Amino acid sequence: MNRFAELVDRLATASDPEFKQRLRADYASHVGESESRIAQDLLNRTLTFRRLKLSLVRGLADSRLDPVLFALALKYVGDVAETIALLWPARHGTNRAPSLAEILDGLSTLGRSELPKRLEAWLDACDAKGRWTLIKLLTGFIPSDEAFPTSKSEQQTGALIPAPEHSQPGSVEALLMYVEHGRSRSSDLICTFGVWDKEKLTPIAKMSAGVWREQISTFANAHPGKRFGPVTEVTCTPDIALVLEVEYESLQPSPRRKSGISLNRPKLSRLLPDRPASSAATLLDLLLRLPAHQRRAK
Amino acid sequence: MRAVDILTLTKSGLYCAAGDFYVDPIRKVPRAVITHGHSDHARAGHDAVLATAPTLDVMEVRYGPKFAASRQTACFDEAITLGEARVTLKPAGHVLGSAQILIEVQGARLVVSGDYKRARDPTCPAFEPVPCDVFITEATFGLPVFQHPPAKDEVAKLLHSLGLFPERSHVVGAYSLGKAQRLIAELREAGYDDEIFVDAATAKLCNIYEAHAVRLGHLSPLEGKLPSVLGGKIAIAPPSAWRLFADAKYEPVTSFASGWMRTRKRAQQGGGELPLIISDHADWHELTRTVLEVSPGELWITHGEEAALIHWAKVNGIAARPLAIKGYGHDDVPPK
Ligand SMILES: [Zn+2]
Ligand SMILES: [Zn+2]
Repeated sequence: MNRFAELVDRLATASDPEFKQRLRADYASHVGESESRIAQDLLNRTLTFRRLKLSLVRGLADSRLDPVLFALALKYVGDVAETIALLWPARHGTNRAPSLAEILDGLSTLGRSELPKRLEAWLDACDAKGRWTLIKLLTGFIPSDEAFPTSKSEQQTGALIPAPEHSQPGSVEALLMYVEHGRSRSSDLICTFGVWDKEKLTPIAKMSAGVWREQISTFANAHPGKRFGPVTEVTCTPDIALVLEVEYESLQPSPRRKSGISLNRPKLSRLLPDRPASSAATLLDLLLRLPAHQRRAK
Repeated sequence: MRAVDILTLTKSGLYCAAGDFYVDPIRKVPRAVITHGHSDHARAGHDAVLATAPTLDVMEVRYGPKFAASRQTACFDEAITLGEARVTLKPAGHVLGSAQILIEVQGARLVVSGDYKRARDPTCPAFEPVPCDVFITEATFGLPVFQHPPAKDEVAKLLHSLGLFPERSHVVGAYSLGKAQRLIAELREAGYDDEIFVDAATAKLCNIYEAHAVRLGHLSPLEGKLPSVLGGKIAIAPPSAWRLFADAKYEPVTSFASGWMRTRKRAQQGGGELPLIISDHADWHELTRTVLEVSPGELWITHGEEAALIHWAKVNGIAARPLAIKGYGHDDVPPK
């Protein structure tokens, strides 16, 4: 959150689109792809964190702050959210600042009654800029009006954080989870691919190995896991895992699936044998590619 | 003698009748004791001036050798008798040479803090809390909204930006006495050893720091430099000198370093592209912590945002009153 807040501020004061792009790319290099995609969605306003009334945040602040000092500070600062952000008493030994992904997760899983307590913990862990930006996001104010111009030149150079292409063709880096020898054609190999959901893998697609049959089969034979009848699990540890790129024509929410999402016409496009398991996408990455209104399918 | 009677507030400023002198007078007086070299505290034209050696040097650079008819150098912790008063200067941690003034009269003790901070500063000795009956504090940042982050974190932001924009010069607006040198010293501590460009007014004051054994590394004059030379370099100069960069091929990253940059309005008005929260004054926590450490019978507040501090003192059982001295508080002000 702190890094995102810093990005928002720097984007607001940088003038040149190329400089802005460098700031975004720098941000992405620090936080990783899924986090920067959430950031981009927030900046493009295709995602909103709006969940709370400012009065609720004010209530939390009132329970912790001297009312006279608050009033004097508010008179000076002139903005309730900023006053709270600046006055919020630091708690030493609190956790690191929450990531945007953690906040998004909290917002979609916590009930109305649980949210204030979590918000307090978030505010404890953020710095003043982070608190300000978080309060503004939660109460429905966009971070800054001028921060995110989408001029033509900027869109052209703006490829470092790919804009989400909703319901459009795309690709995802996934991990080989299971292999199964096909029944109709004995030479075929059916593979199940998954992405990270927290620390576990969740299957997202099942398809024929196609032209990659030999390479996948070699890897699966060298690193077998448990067997379930015709299905063999494939080892997936931080060092030993097979990362592959799966293309799809579109994505759609699929409440019946464990992953909550389905890939239309998935196709194995290439093997990425040098990549570690951690480079594979997360389920959140995929969910964020859905249009905002479909996102809470899971 | 009661401590509250040691000083009285007059038109010229705080006056000590027992020693017949003023502290940081705002008008010309026969005898002045000066806390530090900032122009709102150190004015020219007094008959006799008592101050630390760096403060006297700053006054001479600012006002010329005839800034006072006579001058007396005070070392920290050296007790000096003026009339019936005993005066001792103690480090204030604000800028090089900055001092608190301890005045003792018949066993009663009063301390004038001058401007001060508690955060670490590689360019001057740290503030020393002095127990006393009356503590006269500044309150430039006397609102709880002011909480300065560690200077090294702010300097890291500057260096990070330099890495991200290696073709652009980074020009930082910093008050020429104190802030500029602290920023340079912090950059050196962070491992930055490239030359730093400074404007002529700042350079003169840097020389005083060097003369008092504060090492600032390789500095170069800013004036007369082609913008192309400054690309990828750090320059320290007041905003009035930022126009020197107007012709640069790459727009400079402008930055203003001040405690005021904590609030968004001030940062947007004068912070430049990269506002940095670096202050030579105590923030809210430093002020309140200092009052608790000094533990005075009575707290007086010279200038700044005093209402919150007075409320805080009341809640903590400390008698407090504002002096509202006009004419102080010109330093650390962001550009309009
Ligand atoms: Zn000062
Ligand atoms: Zn001052």
